[in-house]
Amino acid sequence: MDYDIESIVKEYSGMLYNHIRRMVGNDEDSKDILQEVFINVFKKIDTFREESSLKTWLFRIASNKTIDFLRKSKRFKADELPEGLKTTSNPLKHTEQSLKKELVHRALFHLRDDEREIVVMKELDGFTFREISEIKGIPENTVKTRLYTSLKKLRKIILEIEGG
Amino acid sequence: MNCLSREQLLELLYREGDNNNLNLYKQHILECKDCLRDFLELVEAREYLKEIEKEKENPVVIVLDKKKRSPWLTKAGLIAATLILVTTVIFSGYQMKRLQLAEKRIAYSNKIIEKKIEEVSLKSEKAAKDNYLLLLGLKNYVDSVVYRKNENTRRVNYERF
Repeated sequence: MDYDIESIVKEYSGMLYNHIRRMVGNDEDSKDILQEVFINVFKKIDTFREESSLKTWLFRIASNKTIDFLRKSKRFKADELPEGLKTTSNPLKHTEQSLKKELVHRALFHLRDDEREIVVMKELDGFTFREISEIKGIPENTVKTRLYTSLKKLRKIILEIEGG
Repeated sequence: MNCLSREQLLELLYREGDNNNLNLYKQHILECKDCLRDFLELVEAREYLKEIEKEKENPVVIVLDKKKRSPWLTKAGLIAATLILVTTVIFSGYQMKRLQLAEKRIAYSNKIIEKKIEEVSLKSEKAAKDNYLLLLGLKNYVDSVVYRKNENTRRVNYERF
């Protein structure tokens, strides 16, 4: 089957970008990774055998690129909120909602990369357990267990930060 | 029913799985405080995540070289290329044939020239041979006539001759 690259870009660039941005935490790196993802897609589109859906295949490439990037850079320390996700530094402009957002972002970046990825895929990208298992190449039960651990950990971190 | 496993709690949390099983899990949670607490903690974590769920951005992605060649143009190009190739092959074949004919003609002319040279050389050889025989005859004649005379005279005469 022939795929129109332009329509793939139009349809999936938003989803992929948001996934990458939530994993990486800043706009510039996310754009660079997205570009690499699409270059890879252009190169490999002929080898796509439709054993999985196109969306799953694209996210597999994006996931690999993002994890590679995070492994290489390791730029975010646990206490540091990624640049692109920071809200304004003016406390007057902080609403309760934006504070909550910042808190959740901060907590997300306390998780390990693989834990954060599962949470992002399930909660924010909206994948099913089966799809995540296909993207990551791990059993469905491992996805569930990892998500359970990550959610518990995330809640604990949020409560700790809130507690002061 | 035993307490729910992590996997079962997650299935219930996201409503992914067999409906009958999900109902059983739900019923168990209502009866088991530990499982209920566990489940509510997961729900709480999800509630936090809803804060950032709506944050979505669309990047501007520019696809370079997106110009698609129309299939018609591609077909026309293919036909033109084929025609050029065929014409070139035919023309080179014709030229080759002409070249071969010219070579044959040259070879034939060479043969004729060689033959003529041979004939000429044979003729000149024969003339030389005749001259030689004539000289030999004359020498014999001179020898027979003046043999008995003085040797010196004979030589002089011969050389004069």
